[in-house]
Amino acid sequence: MPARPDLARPAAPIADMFAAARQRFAELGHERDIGAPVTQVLCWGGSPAFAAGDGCLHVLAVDAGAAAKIEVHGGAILSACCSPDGHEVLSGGDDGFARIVGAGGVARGLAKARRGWMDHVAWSSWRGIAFASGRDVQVHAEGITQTIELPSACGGLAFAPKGRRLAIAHYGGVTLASSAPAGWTTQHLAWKGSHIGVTWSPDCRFLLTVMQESALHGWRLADQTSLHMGGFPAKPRSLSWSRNGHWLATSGGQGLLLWPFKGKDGPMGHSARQLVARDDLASAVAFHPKGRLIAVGYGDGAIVLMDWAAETMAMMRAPDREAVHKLLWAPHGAWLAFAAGESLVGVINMAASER
Amino acid sequence: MSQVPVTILTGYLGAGKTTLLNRILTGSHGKRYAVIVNEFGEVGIDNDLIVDADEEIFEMNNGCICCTVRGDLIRILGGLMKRKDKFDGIIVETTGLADPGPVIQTFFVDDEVRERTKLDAVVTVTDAKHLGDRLGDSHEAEEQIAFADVIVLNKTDLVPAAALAGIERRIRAINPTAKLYKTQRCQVDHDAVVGQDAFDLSRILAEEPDFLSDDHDHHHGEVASLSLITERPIDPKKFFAWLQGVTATQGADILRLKGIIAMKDDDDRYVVQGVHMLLEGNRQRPWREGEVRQSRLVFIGRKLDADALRDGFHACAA
Repeated sequence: MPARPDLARPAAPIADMFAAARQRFAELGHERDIGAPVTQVLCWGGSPAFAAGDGCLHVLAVDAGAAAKIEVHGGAILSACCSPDGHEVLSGGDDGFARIVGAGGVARGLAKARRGWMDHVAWSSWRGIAFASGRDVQVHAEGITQTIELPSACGGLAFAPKGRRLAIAHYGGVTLASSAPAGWTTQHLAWKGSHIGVTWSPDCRFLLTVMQESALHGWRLADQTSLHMGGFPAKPRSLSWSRNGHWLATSGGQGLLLWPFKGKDGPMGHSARQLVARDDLASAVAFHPKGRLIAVGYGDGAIVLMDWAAETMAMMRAPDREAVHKLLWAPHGAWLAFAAGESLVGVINMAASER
Repeated sequence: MSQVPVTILTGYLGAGKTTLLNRILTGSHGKRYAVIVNEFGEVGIDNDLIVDADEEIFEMNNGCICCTVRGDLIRILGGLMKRKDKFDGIIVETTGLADPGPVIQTFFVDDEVRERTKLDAVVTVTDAKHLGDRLGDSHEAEEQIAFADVIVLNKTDLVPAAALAGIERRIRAINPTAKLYKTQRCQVDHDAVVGQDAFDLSRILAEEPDFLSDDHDHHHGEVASLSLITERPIDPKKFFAWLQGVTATQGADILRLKGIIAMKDDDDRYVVQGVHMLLEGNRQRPWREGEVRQSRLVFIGRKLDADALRDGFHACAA
């Protein structure tokens, strides 16, 4: 792990910082308990939406007040994502179904698992859809459905931001599926151990997985060189790419870790930048879609905005609560949504903070 | 966050696992369980929430060769924790041929599983009529006895009393510390099986069933037990170095270990438990007035070198 710290600690006493955060949150944010664990935070039709363990999609208004919920699944929603235009939600549930919720809030069935749960879903920028149940992955594209069988259960799915490729994480590595005229062809990227999440770098040069052993593994796809980033105290489940793809922010470390991906070797031979503003584990990270801000959620419930270039920070939600485990910015940064603890969801109106 | 207790139910095919499972589920305790099964047997399971698992054994990249976990369980437990409606417990039924080791290790190795669930006990159902044969021909039958916290010796009506006593001795030779219930049609109280806290350090060897009063080892089958005992105070430095060395080198063959240690100049009992190479220990409670400050350690495993372990243990005396 890299040396710490390189972020100036705030000069104000901590009690003042917490009081200011509480005041800021009272002005700009609101939160509520939806009574069910949150599996995914989404931006659906411009509003913060939360897929949850009661089978519902919960929608919050950015300003306090109205909240709505749409029943989608008979059991828990295990995974969810948005269509590329943000108007529809694709979800998988422990009722075995993959469903799509349209712009009008009506859910329709898309597929049912052969057996067991629908564990993972993904939607590509060119409107291809994939979902996984145990060892079966189905890919729907241009009216054709193809099943890819895996050697072990799927741990995560991600379509490439560019090109027609799908990465499927599982025990023993990643299956990389590519669209070809005769159907999807697969290639195996092997690495010992269980891979429980996967992400592409925005330029598609690198593929990274989250590993069971609290590490990240990756491949430079051009030559399949492996890269390994270990030493995380907790699983780095939350990953976020900077808009230009030069940095990958990760949770699971003390403070925020930023891994350099600008050069041709990515982080190989470089150490991560560690921004330690607080002595707690970062549990969720999200780059602002435009600016140089990054939102960091902590194990103690705090949410901090860091301007990592200027090395300044502002606390948006005070700590002393359960961990923040998900953070999501609206596409233009108008709001920041979060999920914390067992069943808390909330949103901070960033547009109002700029007024 | 409260931890949901998990009971692991093992036993070879036909011993009466599903009968016991249905007894647990349908008792008049008002508790709700989630059941994870690996094979849908012919006998139906009487429960609302049944999850069908595919046994996936994962090796961990942590430098520990015997450290394998059940990947499917990590995934399923994670999914169950996402549900809105909660339950009082989870019961994992393993296949008749399953090695309980990876199932148990899953609850020690994965932080997220540890945070939300706790291993309650390994319950092994075995049948009096066939256990003798199974111990002779099946590696798994021995391991299932060895790993157990609770053993339900079923179908006792099918064997004569003398044979039953012999079976019991064979079970005790493998596992001297488990609770043993002799049953017909798995008639055993819900509370005798569930809510055991057998992996809770504060309850390690709390009841000390049939604990031998001096060093003793048993060698009948491949899996054997070794009980070590001393009244000389133990030097913690020597003890930890020795025990860590033993589990690091022989962990693959050590199925379980449990101990209560009287450390030198320490008024608290120190308790320790292990599964293969995984070890955990802590202070438990003060030694009571008049309580004999004895250190006791039980190994259950394969190819245990009794003399070397005994010498090693006694060399830890302060």
